[in-house]
Amino acid sequence: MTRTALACGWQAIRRWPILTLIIYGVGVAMAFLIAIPFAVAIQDAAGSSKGLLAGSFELGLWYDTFREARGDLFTVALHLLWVVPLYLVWDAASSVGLCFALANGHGFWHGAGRFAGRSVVIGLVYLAMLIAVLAGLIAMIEAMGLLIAPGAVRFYLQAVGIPVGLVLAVLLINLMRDASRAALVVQDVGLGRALRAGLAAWPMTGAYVLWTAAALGILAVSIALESSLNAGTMGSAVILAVGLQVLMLLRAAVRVAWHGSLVALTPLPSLPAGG
Amino acid sequence: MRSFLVLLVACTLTTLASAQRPTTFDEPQSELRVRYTLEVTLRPATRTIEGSGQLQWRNPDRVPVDTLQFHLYLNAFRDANTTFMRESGGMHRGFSASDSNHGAINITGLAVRGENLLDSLMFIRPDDGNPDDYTVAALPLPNPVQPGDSIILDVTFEASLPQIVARTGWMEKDDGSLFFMVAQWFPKLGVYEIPGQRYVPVDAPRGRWNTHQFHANSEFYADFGIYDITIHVPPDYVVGATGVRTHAHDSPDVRTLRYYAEDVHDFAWTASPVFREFTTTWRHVNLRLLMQPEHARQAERHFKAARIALEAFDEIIGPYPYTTLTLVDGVGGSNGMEYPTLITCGTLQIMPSWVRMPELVTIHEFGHQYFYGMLANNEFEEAWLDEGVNSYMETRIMDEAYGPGSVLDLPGLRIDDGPSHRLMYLSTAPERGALFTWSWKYSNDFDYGRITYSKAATVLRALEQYLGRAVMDRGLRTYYERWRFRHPTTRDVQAVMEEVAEEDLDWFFSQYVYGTAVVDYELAELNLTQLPDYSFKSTVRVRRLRNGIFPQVLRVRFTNGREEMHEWDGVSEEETFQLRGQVSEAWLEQNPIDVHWLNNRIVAQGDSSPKLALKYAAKSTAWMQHVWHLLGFLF
Ligand SMILES: [Zn+2]
Repeated sequence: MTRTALACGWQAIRRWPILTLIIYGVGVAMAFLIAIPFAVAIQDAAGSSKGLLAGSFELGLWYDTFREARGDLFTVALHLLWVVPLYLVWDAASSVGLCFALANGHGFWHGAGRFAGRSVVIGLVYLAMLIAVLAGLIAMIEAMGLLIAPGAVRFYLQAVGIPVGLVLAVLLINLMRDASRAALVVQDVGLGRALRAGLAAWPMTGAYVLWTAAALGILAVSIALESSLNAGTMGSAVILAVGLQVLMLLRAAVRVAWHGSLVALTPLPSLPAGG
Repeated sequence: MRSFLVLLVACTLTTLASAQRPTTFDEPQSELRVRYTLEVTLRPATRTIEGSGQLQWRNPDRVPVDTLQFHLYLNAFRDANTTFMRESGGMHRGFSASDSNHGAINITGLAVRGENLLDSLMFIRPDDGNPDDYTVAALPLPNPVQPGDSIILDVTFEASLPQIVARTGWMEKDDGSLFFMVAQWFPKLGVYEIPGQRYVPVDAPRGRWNTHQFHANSEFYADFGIYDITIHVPPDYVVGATGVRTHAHDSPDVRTLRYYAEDVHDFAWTASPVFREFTTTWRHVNLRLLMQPEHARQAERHFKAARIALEAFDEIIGPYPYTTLTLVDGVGGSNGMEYPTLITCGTLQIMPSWVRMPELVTIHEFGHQYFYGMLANNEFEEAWLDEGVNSYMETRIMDEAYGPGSVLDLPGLRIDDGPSHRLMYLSTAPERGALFTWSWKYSNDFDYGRITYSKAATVLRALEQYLGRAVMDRGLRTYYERWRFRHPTTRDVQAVMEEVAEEDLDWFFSQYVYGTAVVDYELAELNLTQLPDYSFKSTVRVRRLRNGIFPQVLRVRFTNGREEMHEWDGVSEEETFQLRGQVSEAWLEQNPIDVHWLNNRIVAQGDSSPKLALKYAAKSTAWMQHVWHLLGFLF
């Protein structure tokens, strides 16, 4: 089943490249809202030391540059206050848009518009669940810490157990949320039924794990590229920019592919009985 | 039968390494004004120690002395009203002292040749007159000590150790085991400074005691001498201490260890039943590392750092003359502290190799064997001579041995020690606080650290840059050779540096050691004019923006790639350089003490290349895209 789902994901990328472009395009445009003013502020503040700063990491000069750019950087940070919520709404809307387009072969914007409201509600419900689960997990591990004698076992339980538990909880809830959104669109059901569909998400685990691994792999390659390329000259800066954006395009494709698998794994609404 | 065997084994353990000398010298090198022969018993259940023995003091003055003065540092933790507690608010290095957590030392017996003097002991408060402070005591003597004569005091005392506060005390670990860092635990004689010593005028009629109360931000000051200390602990305890172990004996209920140290001015020891012991040697030095068992994997990291430090100090400053060095991986606030031949380092269970905290602390604390240990400045009055000079050495050794990225070594984020101290110095008002300041007179705790450690390290790096490393090193070596096993002052350091550099350094010391001058030079203008013969003339204008004066080196690059260097004394508020040719770029040589580096460079017609913006636009766009995707996981 996972294999079929993965194939459907792959199909989604190949047959509807426009979806990848939409996801990538909106993402990069919203990133620009923060990144461009940030880079301009740094460039302006660096004055005659621009060349030095571009060439190498010099802590003292950075300190001065940030101090110089303080005001502009604060303004940039303020923009986050509206850009982040806007992105979160877009994320919820684009998810249902992708489900709709992939289930019907067209109509990304239509699906996004039609289901966005309910998708946001689903996001909020799962966010609340995430917070509750995280709190519970921490409390549970702390309680286990009280029961287990101090020493290596307790240390690793707390130092390794908590972070691993948190990550697993985030991923599990994320999977359930996406399953709910897919059910909302594909089965065209109400909010309650959609949320309940999240509980039946387990058959999607295989596809989810593989696409998430691909996403994290892209993140790792991106970090490696960024830290290995100094980008101190125009040429290498362009190479870095292009390299990173190719990776981000791939990342957008992974998101589309995951939705392809999601739609394939979401049962169709049962037809009225006795036809 | 079993107990007989135990006894047999125990007796064979006795008298080990008795031949080892505490130093590489055949005889003591210091003046040996004091000698402590003490026997002390640790009682873990009550967190107390009981001590008894003899304190010997020799009168170094030309006139009889009729009073002795002592430090009773543990009384700093007596209650909330002591000077230490008032100044620190009960917090020291993040570890607190509280109502339920007391420390105190109580002298129970004090006699000279059988004559009881306990009733004459009185507490004095030379620094602040705080009647609730009991950290300094004076003892009027019935018979003055004649010049050159010695007095021997028979003393018994009890001390209760606090839960670790200000480097000393006990701590119960998670596994229920106890850890003891026993420091400042005995009645310690103050320093009697004779005429001509430190700041006592040569023509003063007599010397004076220099004995300060225990403050929140101050360390210690004591005379060199001999310590012969016998320690009794429960048989399962592992002990580390100053000096060499000359005797060890185990009986079923007590472990007895005797330590001997020479040419040192303090004695500290540690005890815990769970220490894991590691040993190694470096030339004549026996290194012993006592680790918390959960940190045992990091033993080699500590040894490596210790060897780097031994090697570097030997090369730059001079030989380490002691034959032992004990490194203690302590608990909580006991860590990051120096005592003669014993230092506390400290680490965490998870300490990635790219965070070099254990290395930094080990190198720093080892450095104190020189700047504090042998060059025993008064830490109350001139802390910059130990913490500051030592931090300067720490930055050099860290950055050379582990750099780039000596402190934090992540791809794309490599932070070195020297630059971090500089940023610490700049982090708040650089115009506040002189290096030469009594430790407890800084405006706050943070300033004490920022100035005595970080500003000092930065100022000395600037001095090194000015003098050149060879001259700087010759100065430090001369300082060490001339002043080791004595009590040097800031004045002595200046005299040595001036002698070696063959120039007057008053401008430097008065502005940056005694004063609070701030250096900021700016490249204000770069102008090109075309002359009638079509050749170019360049005008470079440099401005001094703050009160600090520091000689500057101006470098210029011409459009044809040629470079030129111009020196300027930096005195006037502005200096203009007229240069033939077309200068494309001018900059001042980067000086650690300059508080603003961004204005030290100027480029003709501005640098319009957007490569910096492009680089950071590329990076930050990708960062934001990652943030979007990660946010998608949460919502
Ligand atoms: Zn220090």
